[in-house]
Formats: sequence, structure tokens, C-alpha cells
Amino acid sequence: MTLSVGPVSDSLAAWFAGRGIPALPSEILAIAVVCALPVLGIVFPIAGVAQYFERKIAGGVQRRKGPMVGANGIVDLVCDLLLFWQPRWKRRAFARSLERAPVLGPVLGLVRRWGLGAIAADGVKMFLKEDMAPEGADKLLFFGSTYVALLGSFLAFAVFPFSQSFHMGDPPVAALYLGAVTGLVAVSILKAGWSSNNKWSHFGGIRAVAMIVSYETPITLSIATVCMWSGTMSLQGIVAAQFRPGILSFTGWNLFQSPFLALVAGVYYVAALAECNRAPFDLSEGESELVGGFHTEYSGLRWGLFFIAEYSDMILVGGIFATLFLGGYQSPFLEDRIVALPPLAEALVHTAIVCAKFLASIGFMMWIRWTLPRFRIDQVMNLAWTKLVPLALLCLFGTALTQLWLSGRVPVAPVVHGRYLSAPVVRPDLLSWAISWIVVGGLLAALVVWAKKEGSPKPAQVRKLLGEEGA
Amino acid sequence: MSILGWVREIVEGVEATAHGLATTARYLKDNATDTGDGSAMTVDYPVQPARVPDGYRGHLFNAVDDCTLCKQCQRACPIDCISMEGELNENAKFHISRYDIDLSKCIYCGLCTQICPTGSLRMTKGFEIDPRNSVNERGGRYLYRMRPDQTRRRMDTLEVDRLNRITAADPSTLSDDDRAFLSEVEDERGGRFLFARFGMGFYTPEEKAEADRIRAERKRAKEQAAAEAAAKVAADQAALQSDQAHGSAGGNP
Repeated sequence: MTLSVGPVSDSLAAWFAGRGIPALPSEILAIAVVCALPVLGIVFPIAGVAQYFERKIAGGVQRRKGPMVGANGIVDLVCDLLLFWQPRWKRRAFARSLERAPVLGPVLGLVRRWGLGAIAADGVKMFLKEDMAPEGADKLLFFGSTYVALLGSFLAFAVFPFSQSFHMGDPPVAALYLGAVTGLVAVSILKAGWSSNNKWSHFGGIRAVAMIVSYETPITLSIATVCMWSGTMSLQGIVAAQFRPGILSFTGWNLFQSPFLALVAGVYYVAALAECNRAPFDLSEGESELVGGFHTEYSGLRWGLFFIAEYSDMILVGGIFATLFLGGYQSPFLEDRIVALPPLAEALVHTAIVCAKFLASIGFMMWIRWTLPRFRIDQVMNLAWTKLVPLALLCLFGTALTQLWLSGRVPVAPVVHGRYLSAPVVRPDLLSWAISWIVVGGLLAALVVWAKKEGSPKPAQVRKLLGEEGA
Repeated sequence: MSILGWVREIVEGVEATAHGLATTARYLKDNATDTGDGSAMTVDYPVQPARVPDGYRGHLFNAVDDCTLCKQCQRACPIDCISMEGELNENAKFHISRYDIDLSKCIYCGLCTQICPTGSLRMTKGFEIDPRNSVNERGGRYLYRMRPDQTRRRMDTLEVDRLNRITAADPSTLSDDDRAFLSEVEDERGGRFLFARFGMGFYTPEEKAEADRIRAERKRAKEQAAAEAAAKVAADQAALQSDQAHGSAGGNP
């Protein structure tokens, strides 16, 4: 694996040297920085804050206020620690603090007003809970599967490009590698469910594996479509191929290149939602049927690690979606100016942009989660095999035909994006771009209109619910 | 399944999802701006006052001067949590001197307020019982402790605590100091306290007006019902007479 963090680690070594600190060799520093930064600096904070926003969004959608009194959790904990031997005094002190919390200072008042203390209170709660394993559990697998769950998403960050210089490695088969390591999630969930010695956990694990394996197919097909369009499986190459000089940099993003790529972006997002076990595909932890699914028996920090793995998967999915379809770390405007910045500034700006794309994706996933009800297992399988896979195949062939047609019209040349050179790609000029959108988009629109008119009617039950005539 | 049906299923799925997302987005927006029909239905309770719905059955309140000590509430109570004592005053009328409701037993059914002939006993919207007063000198019963802002005279917490302690205690055991404090509060409000374990039988002009209003409303409703019944009887008779007249006209052409 090649390390291409030279500028970052060199600046860091220079910083250390300037302060008289014996500097580590630049390569070791680079490995430390690059291994630690994505996971500790980006994934953990986002996962910690995301659960707060998850609750706030859930509250907003369900006409509640969400967390409002998180500070009380901390006050309760302090009272508990100080007065654990006298529960009645503890309760009295806690009740006093509830009455008087606003006078503890404007900061606590603010925390209380927004419920920000919930973040810290949740973390403290997870750390303090007992780490238990059920009787009869396979201890090795039970305790090991939490690490495998984390490993699945953290390994994927090894090839993820945060900026031109800030990434651990860029193997030429990065897309294939992504597909391989994200499969570890299924392994960890199956192991967690089986080793819990609990049939509901086991069912959760089996469901998750059935679902993840099914949804791997459309994901792989949609990644293959983008790789074919970009002519490479290297993520930096895919990002570089989406570069366009000028003010409107986003015109180069794959999402807008052809209707088939836009369609396959939707296929990828739906399938990726299932891949990270997110609602409405959270069958593996369907609490109405399976208590908590595969993580029923986990407590405290181990449960928290599954939680972090879930959010880390969400971040990863958002990141891959951005890399494949939304120009990766590129800015939507004036990308050529950002690439020309000094390496450290370029790394900071690009990392900030890609983090904004993560957050947008996470926000959208939360929005979906609190909108759609959970699917049944047959609906999930039906969606994967009869809808997403044919759509992805259609897009694959459509993209191939578009590329074939374009290669006769426009020059096929590599794109230079800062330090990276993409594989030779077709860059549709305005005319061919408009033709492809109008012809294919028009055909698809006509098909939709025709199908809505002539397709098999909705079931009577649905028509009755929608209040349509003839029910 | 035909191709068209397949396309239609996909399109309808996308449409339904978009519809749902639009709905939840509207709720999110309404909730964030606190406007429209998607605004939050809950309140941040200890900080904001709780929204109590109409018809909520909270603590009981007895207006002292209107109570005639008929003891119907005591008889109506299904779990016998009401007890009272009274004495004849100078006008040879009963006046209650003690009115107890054991809140550890009360089920807030409201039967006592329905039976009350004078409308002096009614349910308030109050629901906050302070467990700090759960054990008092007289047998571990719950005592409703008023918050400072619930008493019309703005009192601080110490004063309210003292007032509650006084009203919960046996009147004969009060110190002179306590009596002076009590009369001071009573003079300020123009009302009087009831020695009771539950509540303070505060009687103020506003509450008298409220009781009068309730009584007048009941009286008006009763009179209206009587008038309607009379009108109905009259109308029935008129209809009967016209029927007879019509029948006779029809019977003898």
C-alpha cells in the first residue's frame, strides 16, 4: 500500500522540529496520522454527535422536542457518585438540582436548553455499564464480533480519499477492496447473533446476512457502472475523472453525466442503506419482533461499539456515494482554485468538504429512517432481486452504450486533477450531454407516463387508502 | 408481471417515499419554527409550565365559606378518603373547621364534586404533589404543598413551607408566633385558612366570583332545561290539538 501523505507528515515533522521535539521518522508519523485521523478525528466525533441529531430529528418528525434535559443526566450521575450510600439524600439532591438548574450558570442553561448533555451522558452511561456475556455464549466469538464490526468499516477508510494528500493508500483495485471489507459487517453480525446463545439474536443475524448478501449484488453492479464510466477502480482516479475546471465544477460529477448514472446513484443509495442495516432495512434489529436483534445481549461499551460501527458504516456509505457520484472531496464550485492551494490548506479544505458530504448523507439517512416503516423480509428481498438488480443491469448496459456512442463523438482523454491523472474517459460536450439527457430522459419519462396509465392497477386496499375513485 | 407493471411499482414506490419525506420535512420545519400543525405537542415540562387539558381532574379544592358541611362528598367517596369536622357559628349555621382529603388514597374520580350541592368542592388542574411532605406529624399522609407562585401572595419557599407545616398541624398545638404569621397572611388576602392536611382553604374574592359563576351557570342550565321541557310539553299539546282538529275535519267532510 503506498503512502501518499508526504506533505502532511512533512509539515508535521517540521512543526515538531521547530519546537525542539525529537521528531519521529516521517513515514511512521504519516502512518500514525493517517490511521488515527480518519477514525479518531472524523468518524468518532461524527458518530458521537450523530446520535444526538438522530434523536432530535426523531423528535422533530414525531412532534416531540427530542432531548432537552441532558444536563440532568450528568447531575444525576454526580449525585449518584457522591451519595450512592444514601439513596434518599441522592434523590433529594437531584430534585433540588432540577429546580435550581438554571442558576448553575448560563452554560449549563444552554446545554439544558438544547439537550446537549445527552451526548456526554450517553457516553458516560456506556462506559459505566457492566460488560456481560450471557450464560452459554461462545465467549471468543461474542467478544470478538464487536471488533470485527468495527474493522469492516474502519478498513474501508484505509482507501478512502479525504483529499489529494490525506488518504492511507490508493490501490488500483480500491473499489474491489471496498466490496470485500464491507462484507465483514455481515460476518460480525452473524457471529454476534449466533454466539449470543439467544434465538432472537440468531434470527436477527440470519436476516441481516440474507439481506446484506442480496444487496451486495446491486451495490457491486452500481460500483461497476461507475468504474466502467471512469475507466478505473482507483478511488482517486474516479474522483479525478469528475474534475472540471471553471466555476461550475459540479458539472463534472458523475451524477449529472448521464441519466443512467443518475439512476444508478439511486440504486446504490437504496442498496447501501440496506448494507449498513439502516431503517427501513433494519430487520436485523427489528425491536418489535426480535427485542434488539443481534445486539440484544450486548451491554455497555460493547453495544456502543456496534453503535459506532453502524454510524461509521453510514459515514462510509455517504463517503462512497460522494466519491462515486458527487465528485468525492471536490468542491461544487471553483475546484481548480482549491487544488492549486498549498498541500496542507488543500487537505484541510477538501477534508472539510467531504465531511460536509458525510453529514448531508447522514442527515438524509436519518430523515428516511423516521419517515419509512420497516419492510418485511419478503418485501426486502423483492426490492433487491426484482427491482434493484434489473435496474442496475439496465444502467450498466445503458452506460456502456452511452460510452460507446460518446467515444465516437468526443475525444477520449485523461483528466488532470492536481496530483492525479485519471484513466482516459469520455467527457461529453454540451451537445452530446443534452442529447443523451433529452433522448434517454424522454424515453424514461414516456415509459413512466405509459406505465402509470396502463400498468397493473393498485390493489383495492391501496386505492381505498389513497381515496381514489372506483375503490 | 408485465414490464409496465414493474415500472409502475417502482414509480409508485418512489412517489410514496417522496410524499412521506415531504410530510416529515414539513413536520421538522414546523417543529423547528414552532408554527403550523406539525409543531411539538410536548413541552419541556419542568422549565415550561405543563399544558393541562380541559376537564383534567387534579387536586380538590374546597371553598370554605360555601361549604355547608352536608357530608355528601364523604358519603360519595368510594374509598373513604374524605373526613371533616365542623361547628355551628353565630348565625346557627355549620362552618367547617377541618377538611381532610387523604391524597395517598384519593383516586381523583370526581364523584364528590358531582354530588356537591353548593359547588364549593371542585377539582383544580393542579397535579404536583411534593413528596417532601409525604411524612408529616400526623401519620404519614400526603400533603399538597403549594408552590410560591400558586399562592396569590408572593411568598418565598420558606414561608410556604411554614404555612404548609402550620396548616398540617393540629390547631391547638400552634405557637403564638405561628398564629401571628397565619393571621398576617389571612389579613393580607382577606381570606381564611382551613386547618387541613390537604391544601389551603384559601378563599379569595376571585374564587368566590368563580364559585358564584359556576352556581349561576348550573342554575341557568337547570332553568333552561325546565323551560325547554315546558315548551316541549306545550308544543306536544298544541300538536295533539291540531291533530284532533285535523282528524275531525278529515273525518267529517
